[in-house]
Amino acid sequence: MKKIILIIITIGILGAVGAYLYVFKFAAGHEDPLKSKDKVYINAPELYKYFTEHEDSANALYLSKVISVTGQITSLELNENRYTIYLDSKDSSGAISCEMDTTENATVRHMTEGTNVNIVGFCNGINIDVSLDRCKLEGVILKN
Amino acid sequence: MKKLSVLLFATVLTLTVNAQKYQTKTGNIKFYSKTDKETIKAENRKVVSAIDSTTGALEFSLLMKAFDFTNDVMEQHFNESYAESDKFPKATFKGAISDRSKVNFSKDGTYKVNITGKLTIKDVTKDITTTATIVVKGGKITATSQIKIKPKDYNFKIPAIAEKSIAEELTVDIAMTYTKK
Repeated sequence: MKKIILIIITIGILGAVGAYLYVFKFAAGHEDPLKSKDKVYINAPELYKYFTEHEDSANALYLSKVISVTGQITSLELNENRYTIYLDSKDSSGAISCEMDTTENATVRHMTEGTNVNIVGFCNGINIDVSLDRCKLEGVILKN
Repeated sequence: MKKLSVLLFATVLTLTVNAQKYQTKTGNIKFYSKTDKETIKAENRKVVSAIDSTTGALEFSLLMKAFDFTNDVMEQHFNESYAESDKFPKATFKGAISDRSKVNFSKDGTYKVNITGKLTIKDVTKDITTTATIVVKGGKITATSQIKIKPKDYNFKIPAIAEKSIAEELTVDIAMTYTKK
């Protein structure tokens, strides 16, 4: 009898652990970059310059990291219901490309070129543009 | 000598004027893996690619970390273990339209072409031969193709426990919309 109870308890514990892993690890959505406690704060021209001049070091420092980047919007692009905001790198060869999370669409659609913003997202590296994805708008910088 | 220099300059200028490059920074590459155990889909919407309509040269480059998976855990395993994306952040293809003369880039139409080139993933380079459909419409060029690749050919380290979840061969769909540079 004791053996049966022990087996039931073991199965119960394993089931609970399995359910926890499924709910919090496997089925959980992507991490929210806004809630990250390890953000790297940098402005768009500095981020771009670092990637173009020291790509290996920049990859080691920034790949998959949550970056909070400040910059001026040079253009916006809508592709299959996803907005990409391009921030001015002060270098004609590329920009900071921020692919926005679709939950930001309602806000992003009102953004205009020339606006200064803070965008937070995950860094994927440089491929002409420095690429950030799953981005969220952290703030709009108002200037007098 | 002066005449020769002028002739050389004129030739270079003509070649430069005739060279037409089409480019995109938002090309789309999706890959699928289907087994009895699991279906995996991933999409990269930021593929950089260029076609030279004069020579038929074609290339693309993508960031491995920009693949967006439907399954977060698989994305993590892909980047950290299989593709080692921190160590090998980019994949590239360099090749050409082998029957370039079939395509009239200045005339609207649909053209079936052959592509050959070299695909490099994780510092492993393999020859690729495939077909593609090029559509020229209103100054824009759309190119679509499909290739099959085996993760093992590119040194993807898939542990035995995950082997049944990942197909031996991945189907890769490529879709690019180019505009004149």
